[in-house]
Amino acid sequence: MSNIIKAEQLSKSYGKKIAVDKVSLNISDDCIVGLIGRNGAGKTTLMKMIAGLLDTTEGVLEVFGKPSMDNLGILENIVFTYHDLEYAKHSRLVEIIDAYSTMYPNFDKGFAIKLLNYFSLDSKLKYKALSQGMASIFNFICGISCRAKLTMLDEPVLGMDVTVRKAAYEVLLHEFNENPRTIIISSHLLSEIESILSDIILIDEGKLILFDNIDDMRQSAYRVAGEQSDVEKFIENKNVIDKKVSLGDSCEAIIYEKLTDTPIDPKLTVSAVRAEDLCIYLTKENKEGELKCLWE
Amino acid sequence: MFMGINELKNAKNLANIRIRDNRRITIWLLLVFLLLLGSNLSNSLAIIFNNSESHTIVRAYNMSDNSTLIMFGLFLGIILMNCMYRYDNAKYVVFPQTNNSRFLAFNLNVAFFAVITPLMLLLIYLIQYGVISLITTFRDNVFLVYEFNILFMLTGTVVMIVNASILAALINFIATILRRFGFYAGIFLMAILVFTITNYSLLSNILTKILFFYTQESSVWLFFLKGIATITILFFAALVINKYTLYYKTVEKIKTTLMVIICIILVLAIFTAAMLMDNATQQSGNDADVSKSIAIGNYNVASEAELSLSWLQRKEIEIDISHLEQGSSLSVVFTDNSDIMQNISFDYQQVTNIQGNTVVIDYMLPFYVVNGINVNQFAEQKLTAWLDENTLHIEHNYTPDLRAILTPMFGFMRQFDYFSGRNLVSESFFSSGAHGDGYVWISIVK
Repeated sequence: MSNIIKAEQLSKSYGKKIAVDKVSLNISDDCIVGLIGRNGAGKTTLMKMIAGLLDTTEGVLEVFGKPSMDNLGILENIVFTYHDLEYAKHSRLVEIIDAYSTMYPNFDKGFAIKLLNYFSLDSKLKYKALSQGMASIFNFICGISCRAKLTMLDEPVLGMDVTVRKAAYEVLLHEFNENPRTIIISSHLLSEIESILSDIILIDEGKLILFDNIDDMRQSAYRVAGEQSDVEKFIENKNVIDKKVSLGDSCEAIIYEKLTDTPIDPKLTVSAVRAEDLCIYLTKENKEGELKCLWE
Repeated sequence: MFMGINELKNAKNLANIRIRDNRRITIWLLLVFLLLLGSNLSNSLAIIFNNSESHTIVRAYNMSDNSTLIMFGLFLGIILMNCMYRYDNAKYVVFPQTNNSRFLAFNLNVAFFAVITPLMLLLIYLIQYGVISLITTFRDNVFLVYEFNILFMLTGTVVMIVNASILAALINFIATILRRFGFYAGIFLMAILVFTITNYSLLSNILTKILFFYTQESSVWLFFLKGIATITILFFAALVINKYTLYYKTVEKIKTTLMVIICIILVLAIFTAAMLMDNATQQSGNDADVSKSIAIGNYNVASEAELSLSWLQRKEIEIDISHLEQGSSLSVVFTDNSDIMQNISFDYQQVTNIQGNTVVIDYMLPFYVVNGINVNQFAEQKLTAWLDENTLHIEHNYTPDLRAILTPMFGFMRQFDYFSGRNLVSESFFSSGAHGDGYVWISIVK
């Protein structure tokens, strides 16, 4: 496995606002990476820098071993689509597909047309006439039909209904199996894409919080529940990322550590933490006080 | 090298996509031209078939001749395209491209309009010419004033393409500087604007000289050479500046850009107005000269300058009257089926007491000059004289109900010596007209 993307201390700021803050990561080929983060976490900025659409403020960023910006040899192997991509005002879908076909050497036009039919999109429709969900489907189709070595899909399922989202993930997985490449998907809905991901990148406020294999990630935390005193005793000297005390003296804590073979007090209940929940615990701000203020 | 083969290929592909996306604008442009042509043609045909005047000049203008208006339209269009450089590029951001290939593709798109507009005008002219030519084949009294010359049309099209390309290269060069230096370039332009207001005549003179460098070049080849050199220099300078403009570095505020663009438009508008005023002054001077020469012509005082104008040339008919008895009288019968536009003044001497052997009929035919062309030439007017015993018959004939149709094209071509004076283009910037009476002067000489 070779590295497709190599970032070292990568930063991007707009004036005083830091969008990406000293991110270092290496992404290898032939994997599906989920880029997870809250709104404004820096996901799109990071993807834009990788796609050569933004310059870096600090640090090193290499894609296929070279900086991607203004490097046509690299850029022809990268596709970056997002749900609200702009095209010429009156373009029909078939014309946009023709344009992709002209610009991307590996674009499979036949496959794109088949996908249009699969998702019941009329190729003669004008892009501007599409609903947000339909536009997302179309951009998703174009993105994966490029067969670019690095495919980046920013919020690809935004606005799609649940049936279409499921179909899109199935298509993506099949296409990946048929034509392996590196695919980076940014999304809020980790629970939906979790099953197709091989790796996960979690960023918050521009900082890299987590970059791990999805299976390792699932094992990187666990939940422990029981009476408050028992739980408090158990979590001593452990990396607790969340703790809730409920009515009736029951308590629950999330421990961001691998579960060891050490025997656990049978009065405590230990369970796995879903990847999505872990992401929430790792990125949530403490707004309980603010929440209460809303009703005062 | 500024660009590799792959970048050039990428720019070509990107430009193709842009041009294809802009085909709607192209079609609209052609439709507007066709609509204007249709309106003008219907108006012209109404005059040809319905007007009852014996002499009618039909100015069947089309956009092909209105180069100033077309250039102004192109000027605004190219400025608009440059203003929307980033906005327009956003529509193609998903495709692989570099700063250079993006810039070249944009310029190829602009160049497409600089080429397609003159070609459309050529097409419009050919349609107009075809329709009117068809009428001339069926109506003997309908004449096309300007001659049809394929070399003139093709050269005119290429000259217009070069003019439009110079304009595009200049605007692109300025826009590239603005993109590179942004705010500072805006301040510089504001300073120029202030300098213009305070030193209007100086800058006006400089710009007039620059403009005349192209518009007063009388050799077609030298014009092409100047044009191509200018386009090449401006384009490569812009390419170099663009190379050092990091496209995705900052998000510029559109308001600042717009303000700067408005400044450019203002500066250029002031200079254009100044130059047009200069031209108008020169033109009115020329008109005065023509009027003077016509006035002199009517009083039979022909100077050398007047004689160079074909329609002012005097002619003579001599008839031998040696067989007539000296001292006898000669009666003169003048037949003139002329109308208000064809007046001939008539005068004679010594016809009541002949003291000579020859009658000299000195005459000048009436003229009706439009844009430097005497349209009366199409009426085949002629003066004939013959003697019948003691009666001298003089007859002035011409084709009645003349419909002289002006189908001007590429007025700017008058700057070139090769095409000047060949009845291909109006000889002056503004439309001009003059008409004068003819005269017949009969004298008897020994």
